Amino acid sequence: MMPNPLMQVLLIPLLSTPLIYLYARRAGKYGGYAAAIPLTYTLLLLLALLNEVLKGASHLESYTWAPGAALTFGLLADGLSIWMLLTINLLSLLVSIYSVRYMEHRFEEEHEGHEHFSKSDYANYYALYMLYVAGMMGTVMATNLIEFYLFYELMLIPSWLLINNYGYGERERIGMMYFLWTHVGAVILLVGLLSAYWVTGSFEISALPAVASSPNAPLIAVAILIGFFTKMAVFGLHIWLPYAHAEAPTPISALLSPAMIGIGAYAATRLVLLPMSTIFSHFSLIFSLWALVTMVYGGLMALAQDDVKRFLAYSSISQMGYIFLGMASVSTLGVSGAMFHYVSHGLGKCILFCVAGILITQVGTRSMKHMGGLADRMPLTATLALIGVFSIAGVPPTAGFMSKWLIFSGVFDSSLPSLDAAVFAAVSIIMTVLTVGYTLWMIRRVFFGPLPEGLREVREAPPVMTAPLIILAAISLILGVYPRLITDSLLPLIGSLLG
Amino acid sequence: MNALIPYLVSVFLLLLIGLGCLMMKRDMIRMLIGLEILFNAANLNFVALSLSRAGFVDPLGQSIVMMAIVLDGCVIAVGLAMVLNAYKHYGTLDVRKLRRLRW
Amino acid sequence: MVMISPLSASFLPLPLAVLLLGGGTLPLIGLLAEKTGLRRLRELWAIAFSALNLISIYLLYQELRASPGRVIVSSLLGSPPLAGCFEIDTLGVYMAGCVALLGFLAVVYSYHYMEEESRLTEFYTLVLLMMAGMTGVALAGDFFTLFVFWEMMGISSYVLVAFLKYRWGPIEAGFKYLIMSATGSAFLLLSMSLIYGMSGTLNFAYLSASLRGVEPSPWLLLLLATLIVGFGVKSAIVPFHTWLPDAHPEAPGPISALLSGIVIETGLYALMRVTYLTFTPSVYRSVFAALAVITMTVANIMALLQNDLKRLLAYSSISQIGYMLIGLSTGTAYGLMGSLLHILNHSLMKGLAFLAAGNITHQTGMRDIEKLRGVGRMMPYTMLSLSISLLGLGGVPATNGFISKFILFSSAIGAGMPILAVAGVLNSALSMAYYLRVMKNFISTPEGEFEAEEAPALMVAVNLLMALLILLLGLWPQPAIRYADAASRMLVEGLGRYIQAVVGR
Repeated sequence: MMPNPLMQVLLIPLLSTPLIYLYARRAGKYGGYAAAIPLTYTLLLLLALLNEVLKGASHLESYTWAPGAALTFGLLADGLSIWMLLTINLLSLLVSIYSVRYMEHRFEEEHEGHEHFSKSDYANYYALYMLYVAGMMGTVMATNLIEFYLFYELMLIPSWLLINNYGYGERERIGMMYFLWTHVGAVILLVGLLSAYWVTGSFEISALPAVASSPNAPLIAVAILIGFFTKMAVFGLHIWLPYAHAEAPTPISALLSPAMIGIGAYAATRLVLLPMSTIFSHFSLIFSLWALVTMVYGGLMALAQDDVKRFLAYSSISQMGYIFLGMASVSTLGVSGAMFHYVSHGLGKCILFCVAGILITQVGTRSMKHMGGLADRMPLTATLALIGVFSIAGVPPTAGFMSKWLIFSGVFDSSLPSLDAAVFAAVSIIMTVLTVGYTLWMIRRVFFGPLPEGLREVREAPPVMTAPLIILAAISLILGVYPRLITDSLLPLIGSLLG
Repeated sequence: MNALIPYLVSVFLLLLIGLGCLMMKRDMIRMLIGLEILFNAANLNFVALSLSRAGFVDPLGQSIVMMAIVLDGCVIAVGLAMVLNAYKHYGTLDVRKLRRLRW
Repeated sequence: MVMISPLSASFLPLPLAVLLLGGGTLPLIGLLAEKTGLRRLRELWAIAFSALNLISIYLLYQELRASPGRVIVSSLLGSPPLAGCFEIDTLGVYMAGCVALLGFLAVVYSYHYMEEESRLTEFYTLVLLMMAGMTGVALAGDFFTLFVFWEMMGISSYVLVAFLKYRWGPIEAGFKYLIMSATGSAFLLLSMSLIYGMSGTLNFAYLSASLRGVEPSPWLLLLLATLIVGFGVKSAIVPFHTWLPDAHPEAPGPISALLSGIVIETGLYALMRVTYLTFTPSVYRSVFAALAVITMTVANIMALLQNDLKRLLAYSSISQIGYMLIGLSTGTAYGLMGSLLHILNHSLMKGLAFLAAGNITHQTGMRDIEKLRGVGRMMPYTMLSLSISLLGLGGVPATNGFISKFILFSSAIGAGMPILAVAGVLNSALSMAYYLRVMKNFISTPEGEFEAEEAPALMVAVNLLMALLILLLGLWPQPAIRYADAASRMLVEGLGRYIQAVVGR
């Protein structure tokens, strides 16, 4: 067992950033493969840790940081965070390989617009990419509130720069919108965290349960939650998401949508739901309603979209509604379902965004009106897209089925009166059916039906883009058939933390 | 305390006059004179208050005034130098013309 | 060894002596330089003396650390309270250290930046004298000394703002600065006379022993008001700030960095020291809190509207003073530590921002943000340093700005003023908007025929060094926190020792 594996998981991507930068300046697009190397190594470390965690142990490392300001630096991998870590790591690894071809296409596109792109742009892209991944991993591992906040905000800068420099459309304006929305949420979060410090006397996450006894606890909880809800894009705080996810460069969308907004849900669970569950359950009804509204809103807006990436963005909002519903139930099944859904939605949405990227590179358009019948030309892509859709919509034998089942069970298990619970469950099941409906309709519009004239020459995507997706689809299927891999460790942990 | 009142009233009046000069006069040199009046108000305050301690004149107060006069003189000298340069650029001593630097 | 004795009964603290010596001999060196044609002699002399200053601050600090809580008192021409004195404690050395650090970096930067200008002898003399003035204010033990060095700092800064006198901008800005700042000095003199009238002494320790804890009477409140005006003009507290947006942009690059980075903070330090010594915090809490909120908000809103890079940074300085006022208004050691830490951090960040802006103006001659679109792509190192400093000013984690900001907001909550913390974080988020705008403009693609080259190596090296310090202090803040903590505790908890050191003589 290597020493300090979590610190390595954090530091190796950070330290390899300059090396990858220098390499990509020479090798251009192959920087993506270079970026995959440290990520593969960290994945192996995490898998080794997984072994430990599955037996019920959790792995904690702590270091001193600045005792003068009550700051410690700790890294935790327990049954909850290990799944987040694995998902983020896996997705980043595969997307970096995917980026090799995609960013080449993106830069060629921009070259025709006479902008100054060159090998150093690849270098910047991959360097920012590694920083972004390191930020996400750090957020999920943190044990100290300020350390958490540091990584939380640190995720923002590279992703903002990536959208600002390599996005589509009015990317500068959208980048600023993305940054400012998330940042305002984050500073309100900071006020909540600082207030919690004054109640408990410490910045440790493990000290948070003491906040529940303070008279200001609801206020503090709300302040903290606002930050996370902005990141999760629940209805009302969601305005930035369709723009940001649609206009970001597609590999980044494939990370933003699955990995990053789910971190909001993870953080809300870790910081508010689990330590202060009694307070959270006071809001159970409101949150369940809010979750439903988000679900329905996302789904309906997705129906109306023509741009495939915006469609997927709205679908993400809808899926966050499911996760939120699972959390709002404050029951073991519901919360576990929510976290499991992070994984399954992560896998599925990543596949779908990457498919969208394939459509952009191979077909040349994002508008679904102009597509159709592509299954003839791109059978592999079509199959992958189908698996991705099933994963999100919750169709067996993909992972999404089990996670949604858990969420619905959780709703019934919650402290809501049984009539309300039944109504919520009914609405969400109907919504699920609708989700299956609209996503399949999207598949039909894109892949089936008549093939337009201009698209006769479309070819299948190169393996560097499809291989990562095959891996993701396979994992989704495995988890769908054998969900105990996750639930065996997740359910008892959540149960004990909620207990 | 009662012996001080005329002095304190004069100080207050000088303050008002000085501030008024600064705020209402248009000529830069007049503004510098207003500044001088303000400084002198503070100096007068020192002198007045040094008189009232313990029956003898406190040397601390008076020495402060000496130092303050020297320092104020330096400030005014620098101010006059700036007025000279401003006249070279703007051709006028009217401070309202010095509005090229906008908000 | 940290005291120099020019006359038999008086002592000067070593840093002060070094700076005064350097500033005093520089005119001769300048004359020498012109006669012999050794053109760089002036710059090297100035750099040498500012480096010596940094070393002597370190020596002084070591002396103080020899026994914790030690206060050194040294006097000029006699003994207190009848004569002026310096009372050197950790807080004073902390401030003097900030002055020394930024001063050294700015002087090294000026080596290249000012090389095209004339009258360089005057420039370096004034810079050294300004630093001497600030060091004197930091180490002062009574009002007499403080006022002398305050004016020394002030007069040097008036001339330095108006240094480039062949253009109309600096003259106009310099004149406005002089009028407002001298008015502030007059009010400071007035407040000194009120203190003198009420307690019969101008010595800080005696003053604290007699006036602190007294029930606020109308005279005391008048005193507080005049003190706030007197110090507030120099530290650019709204509504006394109107000189700053004109003065700081028009000054030459390194001077803007010094002014924004440390001169206004010296004003804040003096306010902190004097109000803490004279009043108990409950007297001035709400006033400072209100001033803090007004300063932050007004300055941030005005900054959003700016198109001139240096003017935007100037307004940003005003809002940062607002954050420091939050710490002052808490009156606790933790809050003051936040303010002190923010003084250090802001001097590094704003100093770097102005120096990077100086790089840009040196190479392109322009300051308009829209016209400078894309300059970051052509000057990558400058852009990197500028981005780090702007992110730090916005309070993004991993920079030292975040550490001091979160301590400030935390202290506000802890002192029972959560509204201050909320106002603070919202202003922080608001400020991010205009910093982002600058960054995004500079890294986007340039339009048309815009060309610029990277600045000379020495200037870039200073920038990168400061950027590195910002990141280092953001990720390993412990040394800085310990130092600031010692300094703030010296003021709050060490008040008794401070008084004893002079009164017990």
